[in-house]
Amino acid sequence: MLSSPSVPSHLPSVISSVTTTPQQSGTCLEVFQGGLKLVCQPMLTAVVCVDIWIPSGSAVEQAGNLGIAHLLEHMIFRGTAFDFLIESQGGTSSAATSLDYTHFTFIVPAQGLWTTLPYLANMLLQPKWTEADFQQEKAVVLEEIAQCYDDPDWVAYQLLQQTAYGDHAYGRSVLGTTADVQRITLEQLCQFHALHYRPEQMTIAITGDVEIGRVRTLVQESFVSRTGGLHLPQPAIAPQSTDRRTAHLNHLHQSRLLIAWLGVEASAWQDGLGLDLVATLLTGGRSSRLVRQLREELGWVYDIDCGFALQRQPGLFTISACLENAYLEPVEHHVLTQIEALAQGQITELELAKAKRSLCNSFVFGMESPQTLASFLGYHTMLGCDQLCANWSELYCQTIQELTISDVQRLTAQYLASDRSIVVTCLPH
Amino acid sequence: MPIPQSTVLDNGTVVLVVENNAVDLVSAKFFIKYGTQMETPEQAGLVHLVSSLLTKGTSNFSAQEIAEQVECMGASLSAEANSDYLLISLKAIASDFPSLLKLSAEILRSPSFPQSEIALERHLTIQAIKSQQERPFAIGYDRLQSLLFGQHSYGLPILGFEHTVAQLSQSDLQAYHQQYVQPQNLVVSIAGKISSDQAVQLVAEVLGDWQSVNPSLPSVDPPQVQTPSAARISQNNQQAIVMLGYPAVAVNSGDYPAMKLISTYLGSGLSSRLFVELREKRGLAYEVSAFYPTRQLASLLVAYMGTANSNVEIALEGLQAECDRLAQQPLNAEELKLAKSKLLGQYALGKQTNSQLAQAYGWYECLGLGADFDQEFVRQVEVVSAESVQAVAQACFQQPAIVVVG
Repeated sequence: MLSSPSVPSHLPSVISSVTTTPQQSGTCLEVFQGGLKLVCQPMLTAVVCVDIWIPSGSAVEQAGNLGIAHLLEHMIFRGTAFDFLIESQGGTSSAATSLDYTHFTFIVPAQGLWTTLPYLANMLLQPKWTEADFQQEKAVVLEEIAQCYDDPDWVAYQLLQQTAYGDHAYGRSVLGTTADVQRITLEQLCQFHALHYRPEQMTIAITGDVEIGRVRTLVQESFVSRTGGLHLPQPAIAPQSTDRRTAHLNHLHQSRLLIAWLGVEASAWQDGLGLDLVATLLTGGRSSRLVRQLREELGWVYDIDCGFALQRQPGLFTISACLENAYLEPVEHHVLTQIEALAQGQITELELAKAKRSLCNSFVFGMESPQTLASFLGYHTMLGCDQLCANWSELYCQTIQELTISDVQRLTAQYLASDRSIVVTCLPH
Repeated sequence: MPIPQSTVLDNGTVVLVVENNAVDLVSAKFFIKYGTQMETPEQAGLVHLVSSLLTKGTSNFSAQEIAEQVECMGASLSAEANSDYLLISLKAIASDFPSLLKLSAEILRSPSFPQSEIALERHLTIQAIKSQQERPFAIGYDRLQSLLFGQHSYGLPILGFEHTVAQLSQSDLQAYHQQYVQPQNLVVSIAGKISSDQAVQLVAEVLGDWQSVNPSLPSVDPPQVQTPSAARISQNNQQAIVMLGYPAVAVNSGDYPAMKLISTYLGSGLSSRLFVELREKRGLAYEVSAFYPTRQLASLLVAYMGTANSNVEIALEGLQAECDRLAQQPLNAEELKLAKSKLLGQYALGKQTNSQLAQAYGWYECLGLGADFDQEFVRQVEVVSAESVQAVAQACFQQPAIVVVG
């Protein structure tokens, strides 16, 4: 472990949230020798945000070790003074694990980057753990798993993933199983770490008050690349035919309906944005089709939402509704009818233009925040969408603007066929 | 830090503007004072229902026409009820902002509260109340506030109860609108790519000729804090949520900055006292924290965690011991310095976007503290001593109300 860097003594009130001279230089996307990727975007702000993405989420776990990726994410912070380092500067940090990744992010006043990034690099690459630390953190993770099982929406989504992906790794819970987490040893954790937490695997996104040249040098010094690239083969996802499951859940007061399809993988991100547009047509605002019809006119759903998750391998396009039991069937039928209508091209130019504008503007609104931008750039660069990230400020909206009614028709017909839908319903006991 | 320009229109509406040219958008927030403060137990949920109806019809437009207009601009427009204010939030690309502002002013001034939309929103609110019952934390927090503040509006859920919402009528909504949605009860806070002069002019164009029909506004008493008691709500859960609630001072108290430091020290972030002692050292919980909401009339400090059902007693003791410790011994210099850095740093980080800026300044103005309180708060926090933290802790950490959901 590196000795703790001295903590800057300035008061964080120097963080100013706004500056008023508009100027913005371009995005830098660089692949270092060995494979480490850096994506960097200077912004008008006094803070800097770092988001480090490691492509070893729960999907790379082996049977018997389920939950090890998430447990490792927790262990990275053990025995370090990282939280103190960040928070004493007035910053914040967090980490998360999903199917395709674990990521670590922090935001600090700009000058804090120079001590904080090397410190985090050392935690990620050369952790030192004790058995006592390991056992204590396991107890925390087991509490986290218990808490998730009290959240009916989490349980419903697990069921959807199982149904959609079957035996593929995407069908398992990111948190693993209680039995496996209890069984994992510190030695196994160290092996998993040595295999996956390598600079050549990582993508580092940095946004905010930064100068690209200096950042490049800092990253190079902090993440000294080790030799050898590691290729992680992943099993292909078997295409699913339509399937449905129903579950009764404890303390559910409203039923849930989830309808999903396998969408595209990250390498086809243009179609991914197209599916985002389809989602916006369906539930993007009160005048969108399903919200207008099912919530506003019929009052059959209390809430309805739709989204596409872009992942390394095909992610899910999911429509989820919160409703009373009696409306489960009519709502499902209505949703499928509307999707069929899109596949037939029953859309007006006005409706399409409105959805495009909503989608582009919410992207622009979201990217006002350095954290959201770092997360977007880091995640998509990790997934290989380099072209999109290098020119994100134009390409995202341009790609959406170029979509036509026939594109919506094609995407809907290709990906959202009713004979390939996965349907999960959850009912109150 | 940016300083908002403040202007008072002839009809009493306060307009705050922060010009920020970093991004091509403008965000605005309309704060209507009082929020749910004036609700009685019989009318619980009234202001929430008003907020749901504001965007659902005016004298000129239907609910769908309003939604179409907003969404054709790719803008956002929403309303929500809070314990101290009713809020309308809008955001658009800068060139669309004048049109969106005009529409928002119409929503504010002349909502039509159509019967069919009232029936729909009443029905959907009741569904929302039911789905709140799916979240153990929400159940616990509602009960805790009820234990501390009783029949005062602060003890009532914002959404109301199923039986009260079912009885709210068009005339209730109209009466609320007539009494509270008045120009002298309004703060308009704007941040983004717009000059102060231009913003004030736009607001004056759409709201300047609006005159109060009812210039007298009531005064609402702070709640009588109840004798703290305990409640256990049995569910068949994997985990128990354990919560302590202590009555705490309102935002206008001189003790407010010290209370914010106490809450930060106990519960803010991964280096916080509760996190380190109860999660890192003892592995009792995944989620463990404390918070202290900023309120106009009275507040509470909540310390809570989710833990195994078999650990409930240990968890209660652990949370209470950490609170008591602050009353018994002063923070050392390092602890106080860390708490200040965290509080002020995260305070600054909470004002990164235009919406966050408009929210911060408008809220302080609405609470009667003035937008200057933004800077005043920072100055006050910087000079809080360990002795005053301890004195405030002694006043606060007496007997807690306790709720266990599990």
